[in-house]
Amino acid sequence: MSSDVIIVGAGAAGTSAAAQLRARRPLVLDVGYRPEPSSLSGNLFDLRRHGGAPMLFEELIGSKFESLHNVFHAYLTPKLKAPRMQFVTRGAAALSPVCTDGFEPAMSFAAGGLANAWGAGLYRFTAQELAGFPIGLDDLEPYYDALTAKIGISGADDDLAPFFGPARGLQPPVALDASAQALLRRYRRRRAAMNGAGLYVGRPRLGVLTHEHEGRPAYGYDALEFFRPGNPAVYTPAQTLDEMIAQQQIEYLRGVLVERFAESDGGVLVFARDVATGERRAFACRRLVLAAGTLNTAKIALRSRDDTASRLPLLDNPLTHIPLLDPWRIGAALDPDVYPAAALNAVYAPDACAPPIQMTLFSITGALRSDYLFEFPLAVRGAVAAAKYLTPALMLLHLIYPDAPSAGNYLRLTPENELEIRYAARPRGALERRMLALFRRLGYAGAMRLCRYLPPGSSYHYAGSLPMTATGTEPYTTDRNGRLAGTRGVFVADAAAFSALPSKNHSFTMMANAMRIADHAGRTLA
Amino acid sequence: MHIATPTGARAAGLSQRDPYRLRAEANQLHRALFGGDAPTDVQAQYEGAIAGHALAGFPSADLSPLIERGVDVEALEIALRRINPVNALTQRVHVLCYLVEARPEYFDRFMAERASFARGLVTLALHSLRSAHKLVKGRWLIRIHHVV
Repeated sequence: MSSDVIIVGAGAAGTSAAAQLRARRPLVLDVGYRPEPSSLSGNLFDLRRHGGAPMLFEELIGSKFESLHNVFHAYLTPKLKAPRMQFVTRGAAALSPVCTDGFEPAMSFAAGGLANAWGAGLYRFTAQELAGFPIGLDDLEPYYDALTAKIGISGADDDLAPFFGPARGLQPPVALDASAQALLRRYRRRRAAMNGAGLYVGRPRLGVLTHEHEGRPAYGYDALEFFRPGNPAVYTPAQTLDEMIAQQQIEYLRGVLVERFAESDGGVLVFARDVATGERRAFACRRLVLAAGTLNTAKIALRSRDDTASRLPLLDNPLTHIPLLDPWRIGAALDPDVYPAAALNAVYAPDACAPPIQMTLFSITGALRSDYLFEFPLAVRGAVAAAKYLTPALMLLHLIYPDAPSAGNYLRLTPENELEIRYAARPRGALERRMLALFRRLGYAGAMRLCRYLPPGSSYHYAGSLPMTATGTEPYTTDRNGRLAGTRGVFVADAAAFSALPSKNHSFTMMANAMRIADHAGRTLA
Repeated sequence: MHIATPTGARAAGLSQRDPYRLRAEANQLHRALFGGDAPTDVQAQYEGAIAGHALAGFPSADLSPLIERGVDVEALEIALRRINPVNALTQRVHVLCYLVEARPEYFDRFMAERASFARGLVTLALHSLRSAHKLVKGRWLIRIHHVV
């Protein structure tokens, strides 16, 4: 089978690259798991109150008790462990085994990738955040604008605009629940003091529609995000993928796991296997775009050279969860009409030189209360009461650390075809203490002993294994256009090509960069 | 976060537990935590969930006889949780909580549909005192029953 362009992977980067190259009808090779249909319809809390869905138990808990995952196994985010979201990480352990100690990766072989379970946060990098890259804001802005127009992004031109980029093209922001409204009110009353201390609070930039857009409805505040995939009002790359398949703009081959490539005269051979039958398959192309996710793209690059010695850098955003309590909201009523995945953002930027630290503030309404029941230091009946009366008063501050290459953080291909991942957890505490002090000034109680330092890998923001450099000539680097060193026609379009990882959700930049790299790859064919 | 690490032979044996004992266990736990017997389908779900997973290897003592005898599981659980959050009793209780939370008849145990600051504050204050008492009692139960 021969194509001009083959794209490996159909997650956020792969679909963005494919969309940019659709005039060439690229071949997209993907494993491509899909969700089982969900019967959930209507507001989550109405369903739970009245038991209105015939399969409610199966959808909330699962016929195989999928939602109980964290009781018996290492932590998975509530979204990824929900029964109908299992397809997102299905098969990962078998398709791409990992040996690691302390790094807890998530990989997706689903059509649309890990983004099927994302919170739809879409943030532009600033010029400061791109400082370590061989590209600048001018290189990405046209693609940011195109994505904004295509996806439909809601947000505001507020105190976070200097950190999130221009607000042009945004839909009005998603409605806030009572907790978030209270926080924002208090912040605004003390804005000058908070800004003086380096704290800025505002609305997130979300791929969640507040107005109808290109045939997709506005979000209905049904609070089902933790349980039901595929809400058309919440953008996921799977929507773009399905659109391109329906309009025959791409050739999409499902059930195929790409393992390695080899360049030949004038082209690239791509070697894969059928995941169902194990049959080996080969494809030929003139340009290969790798977008299988950082971990698997790096694995393909290493395997293509039979290299079990080299260590490739690995970047991740260490995460801390900081519970914040608004004592005045103890006993507040349930707020059922919410978008549960992100309420507000905060940025800590005490001076112009230090890189800003981005945080997300979540109300914890959307998940099952049992997910965090035993975080309360109470006997079980007390914990259930705390879940009832404290949850409306709690917000979770999700703090994202930046990352830079470090010798102790790497991945390597083993002779057994596993990915060995080493990532040293770093000491934390100073930033958390500072945030608790700042939010205390806004009336929120919190304690260091309640902070949760999530294990490395929990952000799912992996990056930097095949970094863009100015020259792109060192082995396992890419040039500013994503071309893999030592190759003529192989490009890296996902976050493996990132040169650095700031404190920010990297999805939007990964998508914009994938479009940019795809554009370049297409031009090299002319 | 601690990760469940069930140990060898005991872990293997746990998955073949007697379904009648598991259903009786569900009832005992439900009586202690929510009052009354567990609904029949919750008993069956509990059996399925526990039988299908390996419980943590801590504590090494078999807790089933204690649960069957009606020992204050709430006290035992919070005391064990303080020693190791990943323990076989907390796991059992956690499973039951998930199963009942998904049911409409338990909705108002987990969700406050009407605002009441005073009720919330008083309830939490009383439960804080109650939990302190349960913790002390639980530590005593661990000692006298040689649980750890």
